[in-house]
Amino acid sequence: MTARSVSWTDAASVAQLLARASAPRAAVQTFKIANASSAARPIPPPARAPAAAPVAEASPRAISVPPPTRLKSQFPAPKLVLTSDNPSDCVDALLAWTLDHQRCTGAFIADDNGLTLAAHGISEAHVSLVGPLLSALVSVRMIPGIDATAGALWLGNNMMSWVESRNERGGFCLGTVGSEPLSSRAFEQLKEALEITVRKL
Amino acid sequence: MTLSIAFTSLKGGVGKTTTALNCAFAFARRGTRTLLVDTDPQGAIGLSLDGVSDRAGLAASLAQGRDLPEVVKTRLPELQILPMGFVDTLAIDDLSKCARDNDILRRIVDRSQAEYDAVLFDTPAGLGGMTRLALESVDSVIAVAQCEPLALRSLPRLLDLLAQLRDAGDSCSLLGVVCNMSSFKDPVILASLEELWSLYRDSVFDTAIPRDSTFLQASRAGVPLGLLSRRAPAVAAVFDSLAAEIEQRLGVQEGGEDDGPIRLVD
Repeated sequence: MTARSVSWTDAASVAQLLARASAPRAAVQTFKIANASSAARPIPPPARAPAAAPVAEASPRAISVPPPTRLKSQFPAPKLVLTSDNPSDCVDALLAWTLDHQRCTGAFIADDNGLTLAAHGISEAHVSLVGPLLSALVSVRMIPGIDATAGALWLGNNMMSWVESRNERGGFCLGTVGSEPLSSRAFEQLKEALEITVRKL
Repeated sequence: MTLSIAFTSLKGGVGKTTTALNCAFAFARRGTRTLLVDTDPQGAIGLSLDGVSDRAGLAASLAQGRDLPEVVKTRLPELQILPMGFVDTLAIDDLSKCARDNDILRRIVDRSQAEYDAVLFDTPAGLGGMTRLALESVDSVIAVAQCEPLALRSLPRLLDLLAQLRDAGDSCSLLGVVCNMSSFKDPVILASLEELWSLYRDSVFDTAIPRDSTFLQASRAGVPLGLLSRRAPAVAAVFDSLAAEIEQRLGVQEGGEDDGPIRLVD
């Protein structure tokens, strides 16, 4: 006998229904966790909602789950364009781009200490996994010839995928959570988008 | 603008009335002028509150062709109740038709703009009749989900109705899903909770209403939890928390976003 979910419902159809049945929230849906080492980095503390975002598409408050008929993979993801030099805006824009153009239900951006800089649609449990996963990858990279800067982990109902990029300040991680694995092309796109963002952090 | 919120579920017995009633009480305690409207032909609010079941309400008003029924005042000046009143069992089907013909729920919302900050609708189980009318009349819908398999399986049906109503031009939208009768002791309840969080993610309110015998005591006494005794039971606090979350999601919470610790001494 195969184990069946309690709800007999699949995540994709629920996500579609939620998108159709819900209005955009008045409150900010993304959350940011203050980085313990933020004093050493040009990442401002959690910001309040800006009075007017310069580019609506780049704001996480403009995120809307795409209509159910649209399959993200059918559209080539446009290259991430950052219109602001503000690190917080860049992180938000990367998060919005990821949610809009990758097959995922949630996304997060964390540093190599596992501290989350921005996240949307993922649980605290997923966030707490980031630190140990990135630490594990450091050990994997010690093996000569292995460039472990991306990975995926099957978490029962969800697939968590992530890519890493570094600058002189340290490592950063962009991750997604979805019901299916990301394609190789999606990994490349995520890596490229993260590298663009990390240059501004 | 007055908030209009319907507490809804396809499945019966999930705690809609208890949640609506105690939320209304919590809202009023927070100073929000609140009208609690019973749209359940069974008069669930009347059955839950001592002193309300024998009052005339929505049903009598519709039957007699009167305009809008008088509200029942409560001990809290900020909380008033519009009960359903007695509905003849054979007339239940006609009630929703009559209510629709008179556009009664939307008129209640419209008339409430001056007097109330929030109008909360308790709805009957199911998605037709008075429930649908309530959904068509409000801006926000809270899905009440008991932490058990059947309630979880029926939840997409409510979302589907909401989606269809929105497609048809109605303004109602899902404000969130509140877990009711939660417990970490029972493995099935725990599995249901985990799946609810996994599937509905940030649509689920952080505040979960626990399975607690105090609810039975309040039900027996016919009072909201907060009035079960002079010293309110601890579990009553979950509704303060839920009311705060609802306000936050609607963007009406004073003080705006949480901006961290507040100094005690300036």
